[in-house]
Amino acid sequence: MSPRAAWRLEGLGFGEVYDYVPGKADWSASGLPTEGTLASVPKIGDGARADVPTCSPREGVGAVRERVRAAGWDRCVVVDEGRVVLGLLREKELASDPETKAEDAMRNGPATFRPDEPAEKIAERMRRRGAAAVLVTTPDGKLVGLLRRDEAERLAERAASEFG
Amino acid sequence: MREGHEVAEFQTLEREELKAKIDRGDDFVLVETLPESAFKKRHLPGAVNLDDMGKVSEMFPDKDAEIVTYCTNFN
Repeated sequence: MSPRAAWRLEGLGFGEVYDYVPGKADWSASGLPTEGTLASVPKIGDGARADVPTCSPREGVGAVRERVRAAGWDRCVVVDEGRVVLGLLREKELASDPETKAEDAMRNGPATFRPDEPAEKIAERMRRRGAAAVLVTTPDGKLVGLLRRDEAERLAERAASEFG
Repeated sequence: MREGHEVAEFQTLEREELKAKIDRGDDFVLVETLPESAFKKRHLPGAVNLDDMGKVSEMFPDKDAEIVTYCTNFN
């Protein structure tokens, strides 16, 4: 629809017309701000912790484990140079041989969710599956943060009380 | 260009480019082309709604204005 509008605008004599093809869904799914009556409905991006530890796939698990524990965390997200999620090191994987590279120990392809997912929907899913935390990424796979279940539940309660 | 075929002249913009334009405060008009009901629920910062091309002249009298259009609704 918007490419057609852009084309029509050009035809009407407007000289400089651009179209943002991925549009509103892409914008919101990247965790960027929006305006409007539903803009303040709690979304999982609101509660994702961006300070979750990350490591490169080449790092040794032993060094990663020390860093993660010193920061008070129990898991680490394995990312590439562009912060694209490659895998996850949970407590079980962090307990691997210290010399093992993160890429060999990590859990491959962890489930990820977009920042604009409604908190109520994801909290319910986490409850049903017994998930302690989920990863939040942009549509192109870049890490936004980690959402813990207690935070998801808190956002869901707020959504129910304010918008339910 | 093949003779007899009209080809769109407009250019496309990526998310990061649009964000940079908004952050810099560039002088342009951001236009959502979805129905008003969808626009009211959620739209990009500073956007205006154009759901009827018949309103173009009234809404945008300056044809030198830079315009960025977008659509795609949520699931």
